[in-house]
Amino acid sequence: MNRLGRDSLAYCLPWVMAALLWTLVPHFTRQGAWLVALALLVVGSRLAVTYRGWRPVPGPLRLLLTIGAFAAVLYTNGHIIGRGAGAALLSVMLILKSLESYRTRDLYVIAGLCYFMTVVNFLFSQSPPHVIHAASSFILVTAALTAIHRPAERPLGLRVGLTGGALSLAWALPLAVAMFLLFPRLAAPLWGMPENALDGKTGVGEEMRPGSIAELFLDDSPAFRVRFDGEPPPVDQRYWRGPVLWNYEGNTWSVNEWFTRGRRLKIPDAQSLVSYQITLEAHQRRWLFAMDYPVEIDYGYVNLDGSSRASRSVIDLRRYRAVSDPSLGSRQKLLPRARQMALQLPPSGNPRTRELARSWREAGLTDGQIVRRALALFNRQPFEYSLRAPPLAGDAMDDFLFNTLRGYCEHYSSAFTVLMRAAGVPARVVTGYQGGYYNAAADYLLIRQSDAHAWSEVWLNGSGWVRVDPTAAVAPERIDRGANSALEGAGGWAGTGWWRGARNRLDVVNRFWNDWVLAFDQARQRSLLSALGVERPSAGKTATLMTAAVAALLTLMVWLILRPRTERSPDVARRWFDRFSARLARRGLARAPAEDEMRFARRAASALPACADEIRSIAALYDEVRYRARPSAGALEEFVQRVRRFRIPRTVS
Amino acid sequence: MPAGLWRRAGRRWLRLVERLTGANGRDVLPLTLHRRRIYVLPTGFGVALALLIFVMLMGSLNFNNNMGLAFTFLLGGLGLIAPLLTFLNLYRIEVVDATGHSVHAGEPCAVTLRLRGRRASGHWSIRVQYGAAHGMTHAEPHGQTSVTIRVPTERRGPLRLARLKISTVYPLGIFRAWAVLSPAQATLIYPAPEPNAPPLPKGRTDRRSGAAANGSEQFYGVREYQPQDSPRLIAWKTVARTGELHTKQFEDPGAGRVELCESDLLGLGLEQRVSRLTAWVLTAHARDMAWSFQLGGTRLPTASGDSHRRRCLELLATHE
Repeated sequence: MNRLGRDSLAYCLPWVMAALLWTLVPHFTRQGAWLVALALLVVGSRLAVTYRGWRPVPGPLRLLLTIGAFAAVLYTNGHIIGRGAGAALLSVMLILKSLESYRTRDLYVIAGLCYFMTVVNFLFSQSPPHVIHAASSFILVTAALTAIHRPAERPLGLRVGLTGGALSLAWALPLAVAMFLLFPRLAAPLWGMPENALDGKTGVGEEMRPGSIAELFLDDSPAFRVRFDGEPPPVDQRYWRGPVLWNYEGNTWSVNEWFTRGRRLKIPDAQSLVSYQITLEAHQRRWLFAMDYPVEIDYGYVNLDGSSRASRSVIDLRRYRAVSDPSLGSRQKLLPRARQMALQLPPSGNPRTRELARSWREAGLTDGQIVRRALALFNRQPFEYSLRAPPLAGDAMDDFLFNTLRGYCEHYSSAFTVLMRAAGVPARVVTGYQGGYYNAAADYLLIRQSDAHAWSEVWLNGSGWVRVDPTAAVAPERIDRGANSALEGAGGWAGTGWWRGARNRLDVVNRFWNDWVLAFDQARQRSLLSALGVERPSAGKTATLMTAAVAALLTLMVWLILRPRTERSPDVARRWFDRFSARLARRGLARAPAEDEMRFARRAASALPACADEIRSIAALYDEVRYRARPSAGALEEFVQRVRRFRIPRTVS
Repeated sequence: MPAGLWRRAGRRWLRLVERLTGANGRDVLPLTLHRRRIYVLPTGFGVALALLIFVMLMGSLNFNNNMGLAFTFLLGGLGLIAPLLTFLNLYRIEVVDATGHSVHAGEPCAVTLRLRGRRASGHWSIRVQYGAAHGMTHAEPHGQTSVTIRVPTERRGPLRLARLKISTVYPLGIFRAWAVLSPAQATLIYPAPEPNAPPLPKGRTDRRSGAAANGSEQFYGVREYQPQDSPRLIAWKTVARTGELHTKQFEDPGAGRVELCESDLLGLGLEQRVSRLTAWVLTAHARDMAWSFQLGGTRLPTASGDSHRRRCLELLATHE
């Protein structure tokens, strides 16, 4: 049997397999090496069936492979519901479909699934690189569809296929833009996603376990971007307040619901306001971030302890405005319940820490002096700020304060707060972000996950809640110049300073993308429509507008393509030869009105010896195409190509 | 309603539409496929893709995922211009002619369709279909192509291709564009010869080998001498040349003559008469005989050869 006899689809198989693999690239990077291995194995075996004469994979083995792949999904994702696991399942199904790709119908299924997987990828990220990849993926799948419908003896060439696919999508682009701008948007989701089905909560959370903030140091992805209405505040005020942690249990600090459920901050007259706009990346939690101390937020609400929360999880890019007053903490009141909770410690544990704190209290120091004493402790003792902190055993605070003397913001803020509570000073841990990269040209502040930070607040009579950042006592450069400057060998993408700076500067592209394309929602659509003169459109009216626009565009396209055009010359060959003669005429070799084409070509060849060969071959092809009864296939194409490429070299005299 | 009824209703509707748009059932070739002749409808894959787009749309709207929406709309836009692309693949194809080889009823007739394409990008994967017979072809840029389909035949007489369908799904397989032709050119299908026909009717003169009685015999060759041959028939010149005995052979040209008359078969039905005459004509031609032919009011004088046979078969094919 002919090597290709088993597979009648061999002429388009490379296209389809390439489209399949290319579409799944973002999913590969998310799921890991096992998916890549599966894909290469399966696609490789399919190609081997065609090109090496292998037998197709038998049914029972396919079943086994399917079960194995599903088990792998379950194992790596922990469950099969949710975004990540769902995408992994679909990827596996698409890969395994190539084992059953011997009929045209199967190839259709593969193409449809490829389109689908491209769009599924946007559930994870909508950044420009992903969009570029999605566009290229669409082009490739469209080219693969074209390849499927070519005759087997004239398979689709690479360049023709890609340009054809790109052209088809380019024709579709105006329609897509019209639909994108005018399709009626929903104000609320059609159906909600259950909270636990969303995986991958990122960023600062409701708990601070040992190591939870350290994980974020390695994550360079943007957390949010801030645009100030006026001048950006000085660096030491750039504390971005997230969850406030009151409860201390074991070694973990956590949020206290009493402060966050339905209780709002009372705002005595605010002074020195700073207003700004934040664009928050999706992090699957309900926490919002605002500069110390938030006064009001237009998307969620500010809790009693100064943290801010939204009514729903932030599952996509969220933009909101906020107003802060840095001095607001000093004008707060402390409710008795809050005082009690701010002094709460577990009944036992960390005896040396408690002893130290008690000794300060018994020495008659005031609250303020105790605070200074603690900071002095961090400053003068050989404490180190480092990610390479050894794990703490047993009484974690004791181990840290008296034994290891090494840690980062988690340890310092935790230890400080425990000391304060043990000494009878109400204190709490505040988590969030600190610093950020200010892009002066684009005038915005970029805060990455690696800027995550934890600090403390203590209540001093007469001064209200005062922020105390023990990290500043140990490693002030972390505050001044950002997270990476204080940590040596932080790992991850920190890399060289040049690369980091470049990435920060390039982030302006991301910001533009977020603000102008990704943030297009119902509100912006309304403003766009009112700019066009349509006030208060209902969903029906918007839909009608969209249909009208699409119909108009389609009619325009049809007219452009099908309008009657005067045939310049029904003879294609003659037209191209005329072009060829015109090019020669520009060099002084004009063709006499009644001169025979062949004679003219001979004259040109003798006049321009440098390209005589090319001229002669063009003439020969013209003769064959125009005058021969049965020109060979492709002769016309070659003739046109040669004329197109024909160039008279400039002679240097 | 049963599916068959739907299909018939749909077909009748399509035929009405065609008549309204100028396809009058008798198309004189060469004919160029223009706008009014080409129809476009989604394929099964097109419908499935539309469903997929709907699902993606609902998902993107729900999560307010703008890039998901954008690309869903891009796919939708592609689906909206796909009819145009597929239409262009068929547009301005010139059907030059549709010629068939005459065969006997019951044998498949090979109809060759010649198409000429006008577009610079070629016309790909054009499918020509007539009933169960189909063929696929493609035309190079500015090129010509021909495709042959084997049309089954049942009856004798002119075979007119009513509703020859030229279709394509290139490039995306989402839409199908098709045009329907009824070429006016007809291929004549000869009647099927009667199987196991009785032998040819005896002619007026028999065939004889041996004595040349009336001088109307013709010498047509020699053969080796057989002991029973008459010594008068020995070809002496050949003997002198080769040294071996050879006998002359004569044929009476009038002996290979036969008269095929319909009037001899009046006891049979029309079709049976026709098919028996067909079988006789074929036998006579195969044996290199000469025959005269009478069918209805037409009478053909004795002749032999291909053209005579063809004329007889044509008469038989069109005989009422």
